[in-house]
Amino acid sequence: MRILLGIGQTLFESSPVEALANDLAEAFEGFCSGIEILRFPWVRGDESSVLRQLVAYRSLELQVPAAGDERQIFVALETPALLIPHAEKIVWLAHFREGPGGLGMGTRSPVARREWRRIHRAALSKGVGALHSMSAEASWELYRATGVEAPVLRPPPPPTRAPLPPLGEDDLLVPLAEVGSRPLLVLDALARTTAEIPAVFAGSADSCQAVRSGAEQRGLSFLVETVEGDVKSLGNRRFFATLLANRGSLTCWEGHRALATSRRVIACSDSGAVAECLHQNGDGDLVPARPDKIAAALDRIWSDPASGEAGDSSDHALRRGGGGWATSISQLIGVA
Amino acid sequence: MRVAVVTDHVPFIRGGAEILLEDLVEALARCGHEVAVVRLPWKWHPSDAILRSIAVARLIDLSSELDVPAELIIGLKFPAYLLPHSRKVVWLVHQHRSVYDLWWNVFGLSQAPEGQSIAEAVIRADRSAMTEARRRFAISANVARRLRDSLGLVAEVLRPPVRREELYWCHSFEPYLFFPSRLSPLKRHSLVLRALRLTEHPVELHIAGAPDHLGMIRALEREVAELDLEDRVRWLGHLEEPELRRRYSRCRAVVFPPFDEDYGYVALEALLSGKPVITCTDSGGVVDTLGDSGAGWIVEPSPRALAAAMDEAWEDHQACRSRGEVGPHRYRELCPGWEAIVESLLCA
Amino acid sequence: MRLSWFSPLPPAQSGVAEYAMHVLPSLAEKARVTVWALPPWDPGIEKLVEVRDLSREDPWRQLNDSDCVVYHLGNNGQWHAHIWELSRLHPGVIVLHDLHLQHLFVAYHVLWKQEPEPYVSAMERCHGPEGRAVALDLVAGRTTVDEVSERFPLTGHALESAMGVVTHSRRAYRVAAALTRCPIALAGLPMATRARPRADRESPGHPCRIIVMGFLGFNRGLGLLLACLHRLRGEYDFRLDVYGLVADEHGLRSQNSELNLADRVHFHGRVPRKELEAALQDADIAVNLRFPTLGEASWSQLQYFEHGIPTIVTESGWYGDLPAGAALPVRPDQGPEDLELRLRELMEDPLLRRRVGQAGRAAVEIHHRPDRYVERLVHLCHRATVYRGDAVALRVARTLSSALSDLSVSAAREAATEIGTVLAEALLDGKGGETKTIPAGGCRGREGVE
Repeated sequence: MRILLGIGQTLFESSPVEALANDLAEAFEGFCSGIEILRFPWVRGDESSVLRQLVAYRSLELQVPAAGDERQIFVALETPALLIPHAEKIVWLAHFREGPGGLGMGTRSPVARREWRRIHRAALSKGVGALHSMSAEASWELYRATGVEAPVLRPPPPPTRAPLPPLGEDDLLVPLAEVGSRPLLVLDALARTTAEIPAVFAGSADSCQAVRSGAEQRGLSFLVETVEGDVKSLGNRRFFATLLANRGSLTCWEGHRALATSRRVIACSDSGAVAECLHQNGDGDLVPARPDKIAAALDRIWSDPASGEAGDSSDHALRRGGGGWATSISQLIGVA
Repeated sequence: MRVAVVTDHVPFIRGGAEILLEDLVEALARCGHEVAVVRLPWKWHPSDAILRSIAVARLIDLSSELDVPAELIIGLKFPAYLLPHSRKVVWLVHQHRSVYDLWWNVFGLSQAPEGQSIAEAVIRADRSAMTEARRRFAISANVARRLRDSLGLVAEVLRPPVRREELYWCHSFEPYLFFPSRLSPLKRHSLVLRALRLTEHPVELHIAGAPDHLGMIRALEREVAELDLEDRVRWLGHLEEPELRRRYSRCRAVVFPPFDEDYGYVALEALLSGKPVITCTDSGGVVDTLGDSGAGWIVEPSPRALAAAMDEAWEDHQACRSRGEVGPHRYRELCPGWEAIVESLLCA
Repeated sequence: MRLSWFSPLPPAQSGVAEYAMHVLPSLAEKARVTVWALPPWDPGIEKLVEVRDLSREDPWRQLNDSDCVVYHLGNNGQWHAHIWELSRLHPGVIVLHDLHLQHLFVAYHVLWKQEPEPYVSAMERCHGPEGRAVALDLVAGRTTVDEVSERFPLTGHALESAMGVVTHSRRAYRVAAALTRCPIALAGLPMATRARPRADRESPGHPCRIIVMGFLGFNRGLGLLLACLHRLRGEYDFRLDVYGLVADEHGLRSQNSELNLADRVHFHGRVPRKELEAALQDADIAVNLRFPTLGEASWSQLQYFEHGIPTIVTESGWYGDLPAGAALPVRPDQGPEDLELRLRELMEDPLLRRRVGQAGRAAVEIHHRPDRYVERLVHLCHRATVYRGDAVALRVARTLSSALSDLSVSAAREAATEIGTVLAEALLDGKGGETKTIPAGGCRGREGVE
C-alpha cells in the first residue's frame, strides 16, 4: 500500500501543515511501502480566482494505480486537497480556515465564502472513505462552516521526535512556532510577574528578533534569552516549566514534548489542539491568553514547584489509551 | 526576485527531471532569489483524462495572488507549463511525448480511440502556453528539435549540469560495463541484454537503477535467465550518489542506448568520469551529447551492432581510455554552469 | 483527404450497403478512402477502395491517421450498432440514414450490451422525464420499440459526439440543426442510375403489376394496401408482389386470405438481386407508404425512380420534399381514401403512369447524382476537421461541468463564462482577429441546458 498525503501550498510562505505532513510521512513509513506528499498550490486571489480554483480542484484527478499494482490511498489534510475526488480518499483534517491566515482566501467576498463552504460541503459529504479531524478545533471549524461533522482522531506523537532536556530549576522555556507564535503576549506576562523569571525563547530568526525588540521595549532584556532554531538546539539545558502560547496548534505534539520531560506545562486556552489535549487529560495548566493570567500561573509555579504537576511523566496521560500509530492508521485506513 | 518553478508531479517516480528541479531550485536560491516549487499532480490515463488536466492547469493563475505573488514562473513540463502567468519562461524538459515523437510508438496516443482529438487539444494548449511564454529554452538540442518539428517554435538550448560535477573522477578501467538508468521500457534494457548475448567476449554488465514498477524488474530477470546471462549480469538496484560515482569511476565503459532520450544525464556523468559511452543512433539527447567528440560509440539500434561496440570496449582498453579522455572537455563545452543558466532564465 | 468509412457493404441486405456502392466509386476519385467493414464483403469493392476487416483489427491507428472518419447510422442494429459504438470512441461525421433510431439503440444497449441504464439515461437526456419513464417501461416489457419509436426518436443520442452530420432530407436537416452545433450538410441520397426504364410504360401488360419492397415494418401500411386492393378487386386486374422481410407476415397472410386476395397478392421474401431487378423492370406501379415515417430518405424509392416506376407515397417527411409530380401523394390523415384514389388513377391512366414515371426518373438524375453528393460530403468533412478542434475545446470545458454543478446556479454561471473565456484563449484557433469563446452551456455539459 502506498500513501499520498495531500496538503495545500501558499507560495513563498511557510505552513505548519507542511511540517506536520513531514512528520506524518515519517510516522507512516513503517506501515506502507511508500509515502509521498502532494502539495496543491492555492492562490489568494479575488472572487473569480477563488471560484476558478474551487472548480479546478474539484475537477483535478490523480493518476490511480493500474489493476494489479499496489493500492494507493490519498489522505487529505487541508484545502485544497480536501476537494480533490479520489476513489480511495481519506480526510484527516488538520484545520479548516477560510479567511486570511492559514490556507484561506485572499478575498473577503461573501460570494466566494459562500461557494467555498458549499463546495467543501459537497466534497466532504460524498466520495470520502473516512472523515476525521486531528483536533476538536478543526472539527468545530469544519462544522461551523459546512455543517459536516468529523470525529476527532488525534495523531499520536511522532515516533522519532527527540524529547526535551530534563527539567531543571533555571529558566522558563517558550517555544515559538513558525506560525501563530505570540512572543509579545509572553513578554507582557513576564513584565507582570512578581518574581523575575528568566525565559528562553526558541524559534526562527524573525521570531527571535521580535522577542529581542519587545524585551528591550519592556525593559526585560536582562531576563530574556533567544535561541535560533528548534528546541533540539537547546542541548542539555534545564527548564523549570514550558509555556505554550502559540496559537492554533494542529496537534498535541508540543504538549507531548513538554510533558514527556516536564511536569510543569502552562498553555493558553486558545492554543488549539494542545489545549484540547491538556484539558481533556487534566495535564498542565490552562490559562486564558491574557498577560495577567499567564503571569499569575507563572508566579504560582515559580513559588511552589509542586503545583502544576500532572502525575506520572514516564508514560503520561496523553499517551494513555492512544494505542500509537498502528491504531491510528488502522482507524483511518481500516474504515476506508 | 520571487520565482516559482512549476512542473508536474508523478508520485514515486524519481529521475532526471526531479534531479534537475532540485538543482534549479538550489541554484536560484544560491543566486539570492526566493523560490517556490509548484508540482502539479495530474492524470494521463485513460487518455481522455488529459483533457481535464489541461483544463485544471489553465484555471490556476499564479499571477492572480493578491498577497505574495510570484514575479516570474519557470515551466518545465506538461501540463505545468500551461499554468498561466504574465511573466512565464519555459525551460522545456519535454512535451507530452505520446502526442508527438512517441505518437506511433506502442506508448503513443495513436493507439487510443480518441488519440487524434486529445492530441489536437494538447497541441493547441501547448502552442498557447509556449507562445505566451516570454522566452523558451530547452534542456537539450533534441528537445529543442522536437519542439521545432512539432510546433514550429524555436527554443534556445540550455543544458543543466550534472549534480556535484566536481566529485566525478576516473579511477580505473575494470572489467565491467556499467548501465545506470531507471528501469523503464524506453531505456531499452532488453536490447542491451540481447546484445550481451551476442558478444564474442565474456563481457560483464552491471545494471543500476530502480524500476518504474515491480513488474519491470521481474520481466528483465526472466529475460536474463532465458538468455543464460546470469553469470554476466549484476543487478545493483538503486545506488546512492557516492556509490554511483564510484562505479562510474571504475567501469570500462558506460552503456546507455535509450530510445530518443530527452537529455541523458548518464552520458554527461560518463563524460565527467572520463568513460566512453556506448549508445545508438536513435538515442536522441545522448547522441547530441557525444556529438563529434569521439567520446564513445554511436551504433545502429540493433543487438548485433551494440554487441560489436561492447566487444570493442571490452577488448581494447586503450580505445576506452582515449575515448574517455575527451569526456571532461566535451562536458565543459556543453554545460555553462548554473549561474549562467539562472541568468538566462531570469532575464526574460 | 484521407477518409475512413464505416458502413455495411454488399452482400449485406441493407439499403446503406447499396448506397455505399453508389457513393464509393465517386468518392474514391476525390479522396483516399479506407473502408472498415465486417466480413463478408463483395471482393469487387476492393478494386475501388481499401477495405479492412473490423473483426480482426482495431481501427484506432488508422483512424488517428485519417483526416476525417465517416460513420453511417441507420435504424438496423445488426448493421449499425457496432458502428455507433465506434463513433462514440472516435468522433467523426455521422451520415443519418434514419431519424428514428429507437431500434438501433435498444438493440445496442438492451439486447447487445445488456446494460439498459445508458439507454434510460439517453432517453432522459434527449426526451426528458417522460423519455426516462418510457424507457423504463420498455426495458420492463410494458411497451415495445414500435410503439415508442415515433415520439422518441433518440436522434440526439446518435449525434452527441458528432463532428459533422450529413442528412438526406430537409426535415432531417432541421432536426439535426436543433440538436447539434457541428456542421451539417443536406445532400440528396445518391444513386448512380444504371437501369433503363421500361419503354412501354403506357401499355401495361395484364394484369397491372404493383410492387412493394424493402424492410417492411409495421409502418409500411401493408394492411391498408390489402384492404384497398380488396375494394378494387372487382374492378381492376392487378397483381401485388411484396419483396423483402415483412414484420407481420403471418398476420398479413391471414388478412390476405380473409380478403380473398391470395391469388393476387404474393409474398416473395428476400430474393436475389437479379430477381428483384427483373421485378422492378416489370412493375407498373409502386406503393411506398410510411405511417408514420420512421426514416430519412428511402433507398427503395430511388430504385423505383431509377426504373421509372410511378409511385404512391405518403405525403410526409422526405416524401413530402419530393419534386412535384415525381410521385403521387397520400395524405397521412386520409390514407384509405387517397390510396384508393391514386391506385384508380394509375391503373386507369397509362399516360399518367408514364408521366409520373418519367418525372421520377428525372428527379433521381438531377437531385441524386453521386458526384454532387460526394462534393458535399467532402466539403463537410473539411468543415468537420476544423470543427473537431473547437469541439475538443468544448469537451475540455465539459470536464469541469461536474465541479460547476457543485456551485450555486449564479456562481456556476459566472464561473462558466469566465472559464469559457480562459479555455478559449488556450484552445481555440484565433482566426483573423475573430474573438471566440466557449459558450457557458458547453461548460455546463448538459445538452441544451443554458
